Amino acid sequence: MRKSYLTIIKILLLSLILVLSIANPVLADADEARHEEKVVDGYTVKLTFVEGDVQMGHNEINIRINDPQGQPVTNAMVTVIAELYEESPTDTNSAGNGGMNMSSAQNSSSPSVKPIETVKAELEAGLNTGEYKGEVDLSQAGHWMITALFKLQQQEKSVEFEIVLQKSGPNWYVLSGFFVLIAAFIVGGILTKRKSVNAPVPEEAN
Amino acid sequence: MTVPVIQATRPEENPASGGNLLKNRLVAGIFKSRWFPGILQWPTALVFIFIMYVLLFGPTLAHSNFGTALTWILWWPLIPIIFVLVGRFWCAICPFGTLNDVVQKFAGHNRPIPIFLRKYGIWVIDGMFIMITWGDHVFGMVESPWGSGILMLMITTAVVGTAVLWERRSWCRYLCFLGGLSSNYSQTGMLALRGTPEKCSKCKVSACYKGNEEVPGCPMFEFPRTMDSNAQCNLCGYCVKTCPNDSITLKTRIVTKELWSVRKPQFAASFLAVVIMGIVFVQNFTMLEVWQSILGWLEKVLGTDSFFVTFTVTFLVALLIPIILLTMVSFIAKKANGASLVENFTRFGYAIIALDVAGHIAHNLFHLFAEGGTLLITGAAFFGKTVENVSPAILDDMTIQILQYGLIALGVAGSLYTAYRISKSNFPDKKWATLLPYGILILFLGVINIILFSLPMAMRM
Repeated sequence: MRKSYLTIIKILLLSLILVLSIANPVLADADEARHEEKVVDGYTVKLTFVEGDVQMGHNEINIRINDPQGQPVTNAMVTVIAELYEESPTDTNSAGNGGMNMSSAQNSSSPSVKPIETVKAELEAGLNTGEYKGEVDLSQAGHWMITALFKLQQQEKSVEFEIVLQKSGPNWYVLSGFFVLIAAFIVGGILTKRKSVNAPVPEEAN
Repeated sequence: MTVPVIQATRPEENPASGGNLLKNRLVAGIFKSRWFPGILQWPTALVFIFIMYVLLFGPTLAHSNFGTALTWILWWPLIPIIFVLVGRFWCAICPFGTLNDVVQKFAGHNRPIPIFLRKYGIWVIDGMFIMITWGDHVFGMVESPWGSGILMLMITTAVVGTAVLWERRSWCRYLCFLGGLSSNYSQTGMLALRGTPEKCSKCKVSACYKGNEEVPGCPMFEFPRTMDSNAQCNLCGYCVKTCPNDSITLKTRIVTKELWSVRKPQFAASFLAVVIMGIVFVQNFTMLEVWQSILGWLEKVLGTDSFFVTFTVTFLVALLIPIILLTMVSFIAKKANGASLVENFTRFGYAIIALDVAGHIAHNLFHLFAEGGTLLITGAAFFGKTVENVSPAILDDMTIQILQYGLIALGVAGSLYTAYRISKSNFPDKKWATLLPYGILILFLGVINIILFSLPMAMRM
């Protein structure tokens, strides 16, 4: 019995080491936040995806606006509209495989192409002056046109960022870790299995 | 850590009151069939595999994911209702239980469950239940199909591990957090499986526990002869098949009757009951529209915008409120009935279960009826179809609210009556003095529930 327990403990430890060795590159994958800057009428607008690269699903975004003098713009009403298109709504060649490609085109989406999906988010003041934070859900892969609208003293300005969002699959590192662990349990169990013994009947059963 | 076990001074008779359903040929035929419960286990397991696939490989947004809809909009709201109607029968056909059985067959060592888990497993369940609920909010497991899938994979891994090591359904009995919930809720259930004392006293084979050559023994480590509770019975019917004396009975009973007739109330079960009440508060509270402004206020007070910190504080406060209240009330009752604080807490914690179940069902009723249409929408989308003009809402908000209030009223009535019966059977001379503080507590908890359900709630998907 003791030997069997030791074998199981060894298998568990090996599985743990395996999972941790697989998990390590996943943890190390954490990227720095992606960002892109645009200028409209002298105002610099910087869009940042807080949690790293843009991803399908929930995205926290941050927009920083500086006036032509480089001073942060406060008290602006900032709205973000994310529109999904089947194909790129701009003529700009959206290069790159996956991740985020923020083109330099401004106000260039073709009005004749209707978006498949539209998501709107009102941003609120962020932690630092001139920053505005919010959330957008990019539900599926495709060409997303993110339009940042900001209202300043009755003047409305807008900037567009084009994002090509490729369908990202599940995190195979994590899944493999689970499958390896489960397989290790089962294979270890089969290899170390002894003839099963009927468990003793509890005291009250006798 | 000690686990107080209370001996009832005046244990009531077997709570089952209706006729023996196993006298009915159809019911007996089902329970004695070699296809039961397997015929239900395998389709459930297939559905589970499908859900896992959709959660892990399907759309990443909850509102587009059919697996999320099936799990959190359909299954989760239905599960407490199933517990009330047929006790822990879900556990008999649960895919994790089926997985346990299969793994055990080929790789199981069938070691006895460690004494520590046998004694304190219920505390592990309490802890896991709290951690999973906390983790759900902090890591957004329900809101994320991937998160839900990973949660299920974690459970799957743990089930396989325990199935390899230990005998029977050790996971289900001693470690499963849903098992803890179901053991509490199923005590309000309408069905009671018991042995017939006259027949069992003469039995020398104990086949119900040990099993025989064809059918295994009780997977939940129960011995029908001494069972006074359905908290652990999953109605798998193995004991019905193995008993050579036809001793097993399956009777109907008044809902909640077991709560006041259980002979050995457990402190940990009562603790879980009040913890669940706190969790129901958290679940409701964090879905209210005012939650965001309260979160903002908390960020200012705590000096951090970390959701991890602000939610953890909220969570702890919400959990502690019912625990502190029941402790205070038990202290007051101690003055009246002379029993210790722990004894009162343990006995009367069971009275809270009826309100727990009602609160749980009422909360999830909102998701079922306000978002039930997403089952059709996401289901159609999974098969590449688009459903036009389908509203996620099955019922309007007003109707749902009326149903919620009705359920809370039933829960309060059930809890009050349970407290009265516990008081009457254990403290016959001081029954009203004992009941009064618990009655006030139950009404108070009921009012909080009503207030929470009267406020606008956010969707799950």
